[in-house]
Amino acid sequence: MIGKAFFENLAESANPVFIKELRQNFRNRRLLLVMTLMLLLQFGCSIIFSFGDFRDKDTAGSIFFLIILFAGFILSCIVCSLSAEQRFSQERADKELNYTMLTSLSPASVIIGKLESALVMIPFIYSLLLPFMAAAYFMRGISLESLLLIPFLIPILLLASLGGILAGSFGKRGISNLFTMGMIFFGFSFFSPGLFFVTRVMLGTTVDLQEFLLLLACEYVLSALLGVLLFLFTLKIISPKKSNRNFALKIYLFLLPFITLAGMLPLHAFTSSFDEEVFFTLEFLFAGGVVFLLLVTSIFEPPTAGIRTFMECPTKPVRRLLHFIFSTGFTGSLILSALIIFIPLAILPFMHFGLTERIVVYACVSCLFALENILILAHGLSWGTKLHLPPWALTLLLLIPGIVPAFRFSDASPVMQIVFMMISPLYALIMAFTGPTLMSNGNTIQFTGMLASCIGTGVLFLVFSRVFIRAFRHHRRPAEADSIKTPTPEMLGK
Amino acid sequence: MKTEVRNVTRVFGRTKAVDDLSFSFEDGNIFGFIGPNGAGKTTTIRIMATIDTATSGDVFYDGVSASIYPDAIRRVIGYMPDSLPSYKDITVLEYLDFFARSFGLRGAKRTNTLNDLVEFTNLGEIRNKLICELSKGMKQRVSLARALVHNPKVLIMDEPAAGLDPRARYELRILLKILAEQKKAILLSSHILSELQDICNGAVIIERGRLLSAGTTEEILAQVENEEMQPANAVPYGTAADGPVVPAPHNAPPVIPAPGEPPAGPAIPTGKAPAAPAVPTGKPPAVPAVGQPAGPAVPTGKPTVAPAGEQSTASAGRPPAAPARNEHLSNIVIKTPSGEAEPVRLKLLEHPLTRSAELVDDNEVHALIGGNPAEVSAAIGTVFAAGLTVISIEQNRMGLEELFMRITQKKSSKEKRP
Repeated sequence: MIGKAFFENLAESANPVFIKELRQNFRNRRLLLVMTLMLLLQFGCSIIFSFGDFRDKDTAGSIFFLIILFAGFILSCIVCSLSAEQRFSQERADKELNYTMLTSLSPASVIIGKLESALVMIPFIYSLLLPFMAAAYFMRGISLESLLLIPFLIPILLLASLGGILAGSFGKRGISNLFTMGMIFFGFSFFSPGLFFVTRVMLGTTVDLQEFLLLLACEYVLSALLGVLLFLFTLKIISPKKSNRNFALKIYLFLLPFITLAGMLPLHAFTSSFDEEVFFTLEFLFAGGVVFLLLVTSIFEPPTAGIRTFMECPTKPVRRLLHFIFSTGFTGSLILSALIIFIPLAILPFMHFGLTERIVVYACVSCLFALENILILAHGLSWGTKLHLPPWALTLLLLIPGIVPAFRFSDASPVMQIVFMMISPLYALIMAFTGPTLMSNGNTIQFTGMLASCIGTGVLFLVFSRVFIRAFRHHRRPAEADSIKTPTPEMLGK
Repeated sequence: MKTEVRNVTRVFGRTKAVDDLSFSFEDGNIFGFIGPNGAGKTTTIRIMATIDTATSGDVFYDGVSASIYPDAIRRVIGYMPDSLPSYKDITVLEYLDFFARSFGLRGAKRTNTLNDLVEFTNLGEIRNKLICELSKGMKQRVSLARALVHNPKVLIMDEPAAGLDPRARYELRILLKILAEQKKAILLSSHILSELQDICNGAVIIERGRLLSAGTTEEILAQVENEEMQPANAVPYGTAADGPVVPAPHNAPPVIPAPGEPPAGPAIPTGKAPAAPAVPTGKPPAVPAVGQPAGPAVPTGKPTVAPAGEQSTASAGRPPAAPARNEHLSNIVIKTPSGEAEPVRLKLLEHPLTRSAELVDDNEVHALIGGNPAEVSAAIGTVFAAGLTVISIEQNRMGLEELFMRITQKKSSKEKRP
């Protein structure tokens, strides 16, 4: 009876979304169909291995085990991500999520509940494969090396589930499906360290402990960073309108370059050759990526935050400024983007390689380039709808850095071109359409174009500086805040 | 709990779905939310339910802002949408259990709450059915149970009767009346105005996002009167043009004969006698009255008549969710077009919200009555006394609809004026 009480207590304290989704998962006929097909497939594999030529080979057992393991892994990936995505997007389409959000559940607990219910399917799927695992064991296919594969698969499954939940939160079923399928197929290549290790194991190559730990650390760190990012993006999407929905995401994005910086230092201890320029480039790449993400999110933000955010606004000037930068509202995002792009510049003095003119120019141009695109993204869409002529003229001016190099060879190195591409969607677009000729070195006209656009960017930034100032002035706790009636204890659930 | 919608405006792109809308209602009331398609009802309801936010303005619950403290507000409001998704993989009880858990109900409290809800909404037989297997009416009951799971003080319902058969509508009405008696404030939107008329004691009428009229039924009636919304041929009781005034007896129930039966005689018990014959002659006389019909539509020939005294009592100590009809008649006027004292077959059509009733013979209006319930009843009794035969007494179920149409027509005619 102790066991029953324990499980009852566990069920009582469990996330309601988890309980609900678990019930739905095990009643879903499609899932049962997929699992049945999977079992039949495994059964077919077993037959082939039992009666085929593999039986006589020494590696037959390990290959059989790997097939079973990966079949379960792929099924888990598909089931976790697709089922989470489909259920969530259906809830969004039916507006059922609205009703869930009207309860006492926080958006974070909704996501966690969905993640739990997706992940709980994994042991269930693998438990179905246990008989085949037993067969692999009797075929002497389970070795220590092959068991070491399992830690590599766990973070991928976690990410697949989170990705599915994020895709489901879009609310558009077609886009969600496309995103999830793309993530399933292309996500694997992202985790090449793990797959590399798997290949080595499959080929029977010995792997030393240091390499194993390094690869494992890489995968776990990257998965953790990406996982938190996916979680925060989902949180932002499903959070109520006019709440400070971007606050956590912006703080995380701001911290991300520092986290990666801190993450790369231990890697330095593991590797004998540490190239500072590569280190700098990677850092710049992260900063560029973060700025790009900020820009993408900022175009969906209103210019300023809502009353709920203002109510939380501190009164001290510095705190108020920080609150303004990190709170919802694209003006804050623009300033934050500008700050982030300067983070790699801040580490430049600590580098031992020479501060060549090229690097400084790259850095400055990148900063301006980022600002320019911030302005395009933040204002271009609204301009487009209003069809005002002067803003369109300014927007065309900002196209110069993309247009100029389109006709001549680029002078930017491939690494910096990647940085540009990540910072500037416009640049990436032109590069994609003009083909690989732009990737060649030896042309200086790109710098000319970029520097020419800097003037336009500067002017535009000055023009919009009043927008920032006005937004900051507006970002304060309302004067009547103290007189606003607060909820009664009953409303607060006390 | 007082619910106030203050100057709410909601803009979608260039479309103003709700335009400076303000109204309020308190607990124990059932308020109808009326408007044509695209009037902004659902948008307003979504803002009130904290699902959406207003572009400007706000909704207050006991003075607490819904836009600033939506999490707190959600604990005291229940939202019932117009439809429930068809889940193929969750049963009714599991669905309600999820929401009970989500509101923090644990253990025995949750079990008891769910049992009570299942009993209240009559879901016992279908509690273990999948939601996709339910009919529309059953789904609405599940939806109502979900909205009530945390015992909210304010219930906001979007088209709760849409797609329901008459029986399901009737059941829903009963549930709503019980909820109103439990001092819950209820706002429900509907296109079926006759449904609202039976249960609402107030209404909010909007069109194109703008408020046309709002308040309790009495307030709306007063507004309509002020705006000269009364029928053109209605003459106030007691005016010289209508002959002598006949005060109505208030204490005696009328006796209304069935068709074919001889009139039971004027049940004009005490009080003042009629000053003129009940049968209209050249100049329409005022008619002394007896009781008045109450309750739902009375079948032909066997009208049920409530004592006037009871009506007055009910009116004084009226329960919050009591139907509005028959309680707003204040004056008596009877006009007869022919002026002849011959028996006619009459039908009583009541217009409670416009404080009038009609005695009609087929399509011809024989009398237009306005007055309090007892006076109307007395007038009818006098008609019987004059040898007239009443073939039926029917409730006019188009009161709100008519009111809505009149208000919107008046508004559009105002807009047309330069």
